[in-house]
Amino acid sequence: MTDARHHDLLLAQRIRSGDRDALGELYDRYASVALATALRVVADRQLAEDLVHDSFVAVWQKIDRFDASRGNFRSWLLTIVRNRGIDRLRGRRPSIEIGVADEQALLRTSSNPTADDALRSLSGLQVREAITRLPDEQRQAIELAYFEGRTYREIAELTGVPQGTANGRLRLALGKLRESLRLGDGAPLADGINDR
Amino acid sequence: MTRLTCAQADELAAAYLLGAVDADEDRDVTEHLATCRESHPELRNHAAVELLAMSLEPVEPRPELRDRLMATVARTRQDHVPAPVATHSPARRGAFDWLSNGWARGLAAAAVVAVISLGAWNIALQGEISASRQVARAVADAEAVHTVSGDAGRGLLLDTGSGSAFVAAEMDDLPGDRVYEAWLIPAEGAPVAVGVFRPGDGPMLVQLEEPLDGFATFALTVERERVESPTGVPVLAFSLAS
Repeated sequence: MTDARHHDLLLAQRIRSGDRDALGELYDRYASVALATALRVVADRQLAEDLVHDSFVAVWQKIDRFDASRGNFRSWLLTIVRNRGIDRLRGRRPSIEIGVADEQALLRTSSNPTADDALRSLSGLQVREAITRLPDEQRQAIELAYFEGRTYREIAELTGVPQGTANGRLRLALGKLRESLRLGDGAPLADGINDR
Repeated sequence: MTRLTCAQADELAAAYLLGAVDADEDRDVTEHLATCRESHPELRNHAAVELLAMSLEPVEPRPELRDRLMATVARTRQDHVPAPVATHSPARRGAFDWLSNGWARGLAAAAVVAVISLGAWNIALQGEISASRQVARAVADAEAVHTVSGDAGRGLLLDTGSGSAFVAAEMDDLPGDRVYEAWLIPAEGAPVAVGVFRPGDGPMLVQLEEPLDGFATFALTVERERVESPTGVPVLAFSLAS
């Protein structure tokens, strides 16, 4: 386990015990990446800061749902930020109550220790380079999905390709990122999609 | 019975992780994950998705945001903390809630004795009473008493000036081949092992092998036996700076 992940787990325990300073430490650690994510989604500084604020408050309130032995703290936080941003961006009524959505985000951020540790060893530059190396249509697909909250069906419509192709581009993109950055558990790449 | 086969769920893995499935598919995949015996590592590996956030240049928030957050948090109750009740109702309160309210140490010590005398420890045996008196005496003598809690339960961390102790009072049971190991962790450097224990039926006083001075965090892990560096994740942690 990396020191960073171990430190996150300690912070989670402290927050659970009501230690507000621990939440402050978590904020100091991740607020800048959380704000970058929020800003990329909603493109409005004030709104993005509101989202970051609300997301950290959600972590404070729902910390007992977080299982430190199984969860990835940073992923959970960023998923909350992103989901709340998408809800604001699209002006849609969430299909489920936002608090429930925050908890369900945990299901999508369960820890894969090997991948998490590999992830923490990467620099932002390495990640940007890996994403830049993706074929344009794959990079566009994952950015539409993650930062704009588009479903693969919507991506298919926006880009004029069949739904299966849009879904396949997402698979290929994540698979290639896992492979190039050695994050493990990658999707098989040979799935008949005609992208590079 | 879920609506999706494993192959169908895997086919949607990337879209699911990216939040790019519609609500019905999202529910179906989530339901499949919750009930399927297969591990579906691809569906549970969020790392590649986190990359998208990592790919962005960090943006420093304005300093006021931190102040605003901490002010909000100060008046926001955590979901797992019971709401305060209007009338005095000791039976509905946690065993240590009174200690986290900032009461004076002397009052806290007296309260320990009172709580014990009222049977809050549910002591049935004389041996346990003796142990509880030992705990009460240690709490009364401590220079500082901290309520600590985590996934594994709750207890008290005592700073006795020249030493330290942990009162294990509401800790989860452990399998027969496991122990709790206590750690004191400096701000920089490796955790220091300061004792092991197994929870008993009543409150248990665990003398720690180092004073708290100079350490930043107290933590417990679950281990097979005493080890010199933690192998498990912390199941309880407390910042000594707070």
